[in-house]
Amino acid sequence: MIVRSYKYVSVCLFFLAIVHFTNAQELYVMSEPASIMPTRSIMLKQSYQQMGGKMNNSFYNTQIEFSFKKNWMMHLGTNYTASEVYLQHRLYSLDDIHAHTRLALFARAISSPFNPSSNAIMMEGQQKLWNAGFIATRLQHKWASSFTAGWLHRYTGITSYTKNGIQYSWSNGWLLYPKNYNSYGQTNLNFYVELIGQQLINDKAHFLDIAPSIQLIFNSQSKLNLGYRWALADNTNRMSDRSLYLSFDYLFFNALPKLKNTKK
Amino acid sequence: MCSKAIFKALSQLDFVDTVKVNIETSVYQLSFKKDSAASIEGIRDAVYDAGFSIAKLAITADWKDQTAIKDLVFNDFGYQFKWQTKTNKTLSNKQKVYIINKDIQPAKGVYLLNY
Repeated sequence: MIVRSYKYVSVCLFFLAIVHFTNAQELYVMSEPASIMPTRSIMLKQSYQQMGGKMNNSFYNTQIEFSFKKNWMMHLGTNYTASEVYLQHRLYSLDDIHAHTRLALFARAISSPFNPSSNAIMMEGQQKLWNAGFIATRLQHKWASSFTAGWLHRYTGITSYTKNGIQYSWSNGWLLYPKNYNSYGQTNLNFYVELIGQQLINDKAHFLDIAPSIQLIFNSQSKLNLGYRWALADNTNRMSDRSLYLSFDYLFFNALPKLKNTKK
Repeated sequence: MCSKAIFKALSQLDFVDTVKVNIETSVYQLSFKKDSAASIEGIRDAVYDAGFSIAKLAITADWKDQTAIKDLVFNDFGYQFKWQTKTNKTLSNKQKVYIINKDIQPAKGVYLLNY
């Protein structure tokens, strides 16, 4: 090995970073992708959900989402009667130009004062429960697909109903506009179709919902989401089998102080 | 949204003067403040903290007609580099060279370079 030590006179110095960047068609409306929000960012989200079916109540949900450490993010939310805490950790990431594969684990807990009569486990704040599982997301150019599966355990509800269930979802997203993305000021239009299901344990009851939605992303920093969800198959006695969902969120980059030892 | 996160993270580095971005090709061109030391780890970690990774990191500098010699180890910008070239080549002014370490992680403290 030849070793020399000398100093180049670097009059000009530029770095060119070619990043494994992908577009944002995995920011699903009804589920989370395996990707984590940028470290030290905070997102404020306000949503409105109008339920339909046997019960026609509505929820206003306020949520704060943040990433306090690389590969970790947390959501804290409330609908002003129930509250939710959600934690997600990205386990694996394989990046390529305009493509990536990611795996994550998640856990959530919902605290609720309600005690509805439903054999289905309701996750919109109607029941006290915990839920944990994994997420696998693949993004390929202008399409992103994600699969989520998790275990559900509720603490409230009629005692004859099973306490446990499996929840799953399969989400697909497409970037429709812009065709050529060359400015952060360009509004993005994404279209999503998500299948959301639940199978109760020790009970033959299950449901499978479909939820198409559209999403506008403004200035690469805020999102407006509109979706509708209804049952494709359902033999549960849940109170609501359809819902309209509207939300707006705003992302604050680098809003949290830097923690020590956040390097890879 | 994701690209802007990378842009914001790079722009906030204290040694970075300007960041020019081509969103379509995912290329971020960084220039540095006068009399401040550019940090390869700082750039790498900023991109990783935004949730992404670096496919290629190129350095453009005034190489003053130096020659890239196979397996030559040298120090510059506060780092140790090693040429991983098949042939020797006299570098042109403003020659673009690439750090080829996987994930831009130095191997035993050495960044491997190719052009």
